[in-house]
Amino acid sequence: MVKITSSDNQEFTISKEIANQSVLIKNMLEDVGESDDQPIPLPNVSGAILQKVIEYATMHKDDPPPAPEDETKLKTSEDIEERDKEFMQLDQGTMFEIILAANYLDMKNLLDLGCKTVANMIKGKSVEEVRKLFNIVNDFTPEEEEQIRKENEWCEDR
Amino acid sequence: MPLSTNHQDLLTKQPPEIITKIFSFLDAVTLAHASAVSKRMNDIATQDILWKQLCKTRWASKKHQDLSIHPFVDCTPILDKLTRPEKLRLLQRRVFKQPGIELEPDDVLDTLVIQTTPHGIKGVYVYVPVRCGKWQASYIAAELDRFRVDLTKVELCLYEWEFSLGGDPEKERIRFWQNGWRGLDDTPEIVETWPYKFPYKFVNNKLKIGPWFLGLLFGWMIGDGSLIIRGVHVRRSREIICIELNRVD
Repeated sequence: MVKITSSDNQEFTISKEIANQSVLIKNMLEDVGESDDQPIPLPNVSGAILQKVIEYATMHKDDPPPAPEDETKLKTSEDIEERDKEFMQLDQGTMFEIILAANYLDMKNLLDLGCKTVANMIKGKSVEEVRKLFNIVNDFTPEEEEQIRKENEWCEDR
Repeated sequence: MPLSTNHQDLLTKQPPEIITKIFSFLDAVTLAHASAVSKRMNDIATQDILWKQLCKTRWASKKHQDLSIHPFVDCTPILDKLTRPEKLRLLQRRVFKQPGIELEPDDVLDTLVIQTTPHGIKGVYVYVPVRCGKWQASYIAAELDRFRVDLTKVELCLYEWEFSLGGDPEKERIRFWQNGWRGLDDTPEIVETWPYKFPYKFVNNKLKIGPWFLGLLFGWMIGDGSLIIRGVHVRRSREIICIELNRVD
């Protein structure tokens, strides 16, 4: 078993196979060796988020290793498993914190899942709808807006 | 502290590598729309790394479209963003030939790149990038070129074509030569057995082949051409068969 602590000093005890899904923790374990009983500090992740990350890792502990990527295949966000879709039904704040945690912990599958989920939120929306959904302020000058409108003429009605 | 996290702009506050990763799952049209949301979104959505990948997947099945800057991009505004090999390849794709060109200094290459921009060719839409990078511009140029039906003689002579009977491509390839002869080489003599050698005419972007072909139904399919051209319909008139080269994706 492996002990990890969050930024707010919550301690979690997890199995090694779950811990190893994070390349960061895996490397740390290899560096310190088996015998060390000290908890691994993860100062960039809060306890609440770590809880969710462990939930994800537990759900996926029996997954086969990922297939090598085909460079010429279009990267798609349409291939999310149903259980992962349910897992990602979170408020935007939690969702982005999970993405950042996955990036820090070096968990490729979870990072991809988070990024695909956000990509799916952007897809099929108008520019104005995207601004509204993520509360983004339009900071273009009218001239810049006109430039981009012209640049995007090719994809109108597509 | 805001009461709800949904009241702050969380997406564009993420580190650039995270937003780039999110955008890497978008299709070209959505990415183009994302670039119109805000300045920061525009900076990230117009990156070459994202558009080069989109070009790679979009053009993967198109033999004629190698991963290089599209010849119909007006590179004048983005000359400083092109590498030397990219400029040389661009000139090659614009069928510019000059011995020893690879030894020319950069300013000469720049001038040639500007001069060879295919302005004023019938049916060719030259794309001028304003804010976007070289790969986004190439992607857009290729999309705009998809529905072109006019073929230039230069393009006809540039590529090897596959001969096809009844839609079944033969292994044999054929070429059209600048001197008006069609065959495996440009020697001007008629050969009436495969691989036939005949003169051809290219009038108003229509390919015309002599009367000896009357009665034959055939078509041409693209081999290693630089254009997305396939599918041919044959129109018979009194003396000549006029083949129109139609573009199909």
